[in-house]
Amino acid sequence: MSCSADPPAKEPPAYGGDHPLDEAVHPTLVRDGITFVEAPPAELCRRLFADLIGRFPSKQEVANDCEGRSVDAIARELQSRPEYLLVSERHWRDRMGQTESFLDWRYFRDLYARIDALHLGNLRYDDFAHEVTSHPAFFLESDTPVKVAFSVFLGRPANEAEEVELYSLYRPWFITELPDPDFPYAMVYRAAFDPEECEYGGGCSTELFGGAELKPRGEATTYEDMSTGNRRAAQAIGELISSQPVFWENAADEILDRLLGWSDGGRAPRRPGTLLPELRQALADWLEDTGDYPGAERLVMTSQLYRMSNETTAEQVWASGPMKAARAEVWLDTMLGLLEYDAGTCDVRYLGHEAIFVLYEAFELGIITEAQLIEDIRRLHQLMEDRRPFGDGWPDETYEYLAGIIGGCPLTAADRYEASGLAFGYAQEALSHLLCLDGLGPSEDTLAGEVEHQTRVLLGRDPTEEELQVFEEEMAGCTTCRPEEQASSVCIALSGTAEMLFY
Amino acid sequence: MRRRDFLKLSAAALPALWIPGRARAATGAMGKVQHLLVMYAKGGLRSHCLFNAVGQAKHNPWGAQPAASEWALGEICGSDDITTAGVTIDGFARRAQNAAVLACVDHLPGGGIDIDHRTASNRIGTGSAEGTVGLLTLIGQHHPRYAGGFSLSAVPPVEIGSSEFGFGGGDVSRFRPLSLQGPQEGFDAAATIQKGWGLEARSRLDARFATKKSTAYRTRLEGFLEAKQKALTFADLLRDPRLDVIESPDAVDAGITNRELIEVLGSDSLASLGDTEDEAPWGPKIALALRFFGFGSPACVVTHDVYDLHDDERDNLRPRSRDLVRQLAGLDHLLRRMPHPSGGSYWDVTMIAVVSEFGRNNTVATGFNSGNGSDHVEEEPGPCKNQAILVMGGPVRAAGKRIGSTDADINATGTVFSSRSLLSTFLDVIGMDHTPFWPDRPIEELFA
Repeated sequence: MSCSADPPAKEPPAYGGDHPLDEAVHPTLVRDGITFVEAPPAELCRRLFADLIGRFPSKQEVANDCEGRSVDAIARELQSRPEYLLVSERHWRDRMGQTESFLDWRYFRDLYARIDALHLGNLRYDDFAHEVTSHPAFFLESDTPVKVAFSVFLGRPANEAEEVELYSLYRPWFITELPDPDFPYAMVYRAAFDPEECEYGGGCSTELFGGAELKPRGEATTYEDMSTGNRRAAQAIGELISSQPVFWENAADEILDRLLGWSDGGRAPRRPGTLLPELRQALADWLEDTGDYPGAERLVMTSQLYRMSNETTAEQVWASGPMKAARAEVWLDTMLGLLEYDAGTCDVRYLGHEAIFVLYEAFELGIITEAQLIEDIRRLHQLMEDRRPFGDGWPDETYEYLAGIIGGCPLTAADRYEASGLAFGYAQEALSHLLCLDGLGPSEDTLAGEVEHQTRVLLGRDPTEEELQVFEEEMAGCTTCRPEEQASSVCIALSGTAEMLFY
Repeated sequence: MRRRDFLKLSAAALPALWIPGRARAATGAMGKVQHLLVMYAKGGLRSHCLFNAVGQAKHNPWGAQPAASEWALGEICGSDDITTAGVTIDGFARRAQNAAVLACVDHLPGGGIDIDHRTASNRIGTGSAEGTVGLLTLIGQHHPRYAGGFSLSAVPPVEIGSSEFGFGGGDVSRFRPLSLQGPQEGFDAAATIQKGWGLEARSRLDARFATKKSTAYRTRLEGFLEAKQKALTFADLLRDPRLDVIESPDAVDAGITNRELIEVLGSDSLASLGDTEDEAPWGPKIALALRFFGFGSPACVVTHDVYDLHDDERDNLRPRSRDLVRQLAGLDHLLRRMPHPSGGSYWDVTMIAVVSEFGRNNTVATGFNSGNGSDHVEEEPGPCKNQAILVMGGPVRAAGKRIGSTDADINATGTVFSSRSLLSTFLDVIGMDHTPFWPDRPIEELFA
């Protein structure tokens, strides 16, 4: 009997481009015989708008902002808009799991300024981690700061031993109650740092992960009065965390999950980084070299995996472009923008903050009059730069309410849910009816005109002949439909389509 | 070894073998409960002052009522009867013997203490500190009743007031419970959901959209489209006047009108009971839960978030406790009078439990902190760790009994149950195996 060796595996043709992620997945795409089919501008533009500025584009915006431009150019332009920072703050708030806050609101303004700096490309990702993990708005909100730091930056909670051991690096911190700098009749909780805790209070060092030790000096001070040296010393935990290889891989995972969103309902989660580890590694390496977080997002967006059309017959998730469930805010912002209705936003920095209630308590105790209370709440609102509209002396919470019933504006990450399930279906349907009361924008005379107008503003494209016909047929067969309900009915129908909730 | 010897050895080893689905510990009430009502007193209820009133003044400044049962009902619960238009109904103090109390339910028996609202709420709602799938979602996903999905003949679990019990993101979100904020908030929006024209066009567009997408995404899209369709289905149900417990007083189910439900359970602001805040009462939400049971829902969690009393507990825990025990008296009265479609009364097939995320501590000799409230801190952990959980209903055989015990500092002196054991019990009594989710055994003592 003769044996014949398997023929030697064919080397895939060499990758000829200069995109590190495309290069990383090139052998897999060749092996699986996947041909790159670029998504049409409307599909790609919709994806970029929703991911970067948190709403869907109209047909006019597709034409003006996307057609004829490279993905890199579109992404850079969208990343330069203020909405990009708001969307990025939302992502970080979900990750950090910040709940109702009792700390001074100024810490939150400060923390989110760092998030903005990261996303403006002014702060390296590892420096960001160092600053955030030693920032009071991050760790004083939690009774388990080590656990949260691990979850956010290493992708897993700390185990009990790690938590106990590393907590010593947070030992010098404590909370103190001081008069509010702007409203001296009210008391606020401020963070303070006492170097002596490291000398006499049990030490501030760890042997884990190669070891680290805090060596602060001087007297106890509030956070804002800390010396540069002590601020630097307090970053020891962030430095320890960012020295772990998984730090960069976790960042790559988060970006890939968010932008590619490989999850198919039956076998979720199918994380891009676990299915194609070479993809995660390439992105992690690039991010470690550059520290450029928004650049890493662009790197994914300019990759073939992101630019592909999601209309394919292929089985593998990497054989098609991403299709993700829209977050509640994406759907809501699109609708409210078209209605030109300013419901504000759920301001991630101050959601559930009790600063206002501190002032209100002073009123209840008779320290200030009602007139002064209202005036001071207005002033507080301006100082906070709270983005919610303002009425009757209180921030308008309409947006939080509307988004909350379809899984947005969560108090914790686990509170967030996306387009799936009965609860969502029911709530979203009810919201469509509420917001579509008068249609979207000026009403058109004919049904075809209405369908055309609303398809353009909601779905960013023209309706097909078949779609027009479907509406005409249904209208013709309806004996109880009234012409004055035309705009509302088309709006309800289109705003609740799968195309408005998956992109 | 011969085959016969092998079999003999295996038989001897059997008690130690792990046999999924058979070896799990089930209670005597397994599957006997058709409706589970969890009253989630959110914020950190100082439960030992209500249902295990043995603490010294520092821990229970209000004292206890004369014992009518093995467990001690707190003086703070009052002894009010319920006065309706037609009749006076015995208050809870006269019915305490119809309920059992677990004196010590702790998230971490023998271990540390969880004082964080977020993680403790996750523990009671999902079974773990970082849990993301709530008990009601687990029921929606795994209860045999839902083998064919949710439908009008298999009405989903319900949450009234959203909470960790209804958690479920991503792909399990399709199993989340029907979620309403309460009778006052749920129905305006529901009433506008129509089946008018445009929806047929939409479903054709949706079908076309789903067909064009990669097969990798098809399952998820189809799940979503199914859920949307179901939303329209349940819109009809949600318009039913029986669920409109406030605005449709004459609607009747199980022989009781909505008016009677509200009269018994109450609907007045807690300010009418002396609360310094204009807080809503439990009553309308509990009435709504009963109505969902009438549609066949097997489980409902009602969340009432008024118990985080760091301040003013001295004034406000009393009205909030009186309102809470009014529900227990009202349920005892109503459920026994409501015939169940399967025979007997609703009482026979319903179990009720009052839970919170933790108890409270950090008090001085007066029984309060400096703000006349109490907190949740690591020092003197007993009163915070050891929740006193009240359980009642027809299937509960331990009515009148206290299971477990504490000393006057509310430190455990007897059996301590984990909060996951309590969740296992909930699953067990409605006919579900807890072992795929966590190992903690259900609490057999409630049904012995």
